[in-house]
Amino acid sequence: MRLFFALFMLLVPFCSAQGTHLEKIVLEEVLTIGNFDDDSLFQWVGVAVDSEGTIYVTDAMDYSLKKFDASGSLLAKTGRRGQGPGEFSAPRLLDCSKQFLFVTEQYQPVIKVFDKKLRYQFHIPLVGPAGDLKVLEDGLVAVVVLSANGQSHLEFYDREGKIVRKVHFSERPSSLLLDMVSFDLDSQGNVYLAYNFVDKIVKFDDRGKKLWSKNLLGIKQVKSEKISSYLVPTEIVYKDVALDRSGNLYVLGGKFSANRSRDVYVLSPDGELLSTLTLPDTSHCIYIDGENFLYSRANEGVTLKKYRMVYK
Amino acid sequence: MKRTSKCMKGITIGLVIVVFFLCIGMSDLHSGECEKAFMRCTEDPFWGATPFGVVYCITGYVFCKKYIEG
Repeated sequence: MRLFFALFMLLVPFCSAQGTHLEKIVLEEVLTIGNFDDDSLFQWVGVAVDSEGTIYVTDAMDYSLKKFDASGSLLAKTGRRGQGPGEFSAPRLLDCSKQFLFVTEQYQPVIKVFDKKLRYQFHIPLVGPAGDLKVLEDGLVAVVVLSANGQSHLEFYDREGKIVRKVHFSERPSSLLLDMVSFDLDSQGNVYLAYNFVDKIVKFDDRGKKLWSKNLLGIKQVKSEKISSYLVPTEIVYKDVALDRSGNLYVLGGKFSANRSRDVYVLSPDGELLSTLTLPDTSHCIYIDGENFLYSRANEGVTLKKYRMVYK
Repeated sequence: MKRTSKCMKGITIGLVIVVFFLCIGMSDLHSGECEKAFMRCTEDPFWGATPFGVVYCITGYVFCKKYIEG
């Protein structure tokens, strides 16, 4: 009996370790949009893909919002340099709902909303510039907004610009840039944050309670530089996050990763590191669509790549 | 003759050190593009005059670090 008990105790950790096995993820390129020989893309920034596989991209260089079909052919383009409706001064982040496309501006506290035919519809006023954006439904968007005191908050806006929910994640009283984050939301309303200048990935539940916090790279503090009168962190730790269809979190690493701006850490919903994959090219962002295809940058923004993720 | 050879050796080592530090300087220059842009932004009367203007410099800096720093 004692022998059986001893064997059981030995097997328990072994079995639990089997449950957290590492998977190898291989990327198979399925689509390329834009290259140095054509003018499809010049310096794309944001990407979103709808349920039909239509790809929407913001392009900073020609102040535009572009629409490509699933095979990568340009279907439509809108926008020009300006501050008016349907114009852009610096188009950045992009996300889509069933009906609409939502575009942030670098130098304006607004989200510009377009229909799927790229016709300007309305704008959502924000209290400050947007650091990251996710659309929950046609009339509800979640935005990381930087307020005048330099602190970031995750705010949920309705289409009139009314804040309907706010998540405070900053743990420092005054922390210029140190609480800048990229985020994603799962279907239960849980929030995943990756800090841009701190080695920290955090999950909050839908009521704002912290569930876990991870540091993957063992970075205690990044270098800072005094610029004008501001102490500015100069090394980026994490660049972007995206959730896949199974609820796993993909985190794009920055300067401290073995392959800078190419390594993507894959975490389970419980924060366990499952795998690491490496993008073929450096990227500023990652995007995963409803079919689990991964999108990232190549050729410094001239090219958008779409990959199938094969789990081995 | 021996003295000239020693002198050449010294010059060579000196040149190697200078090239080394120049290389370090060049990489610093490259990695400082976003920092320089941030400084220009905060010193611009339009953006840097108010705390609210500076937040635009901050989001611009973050974008630059994400986009340019490979």
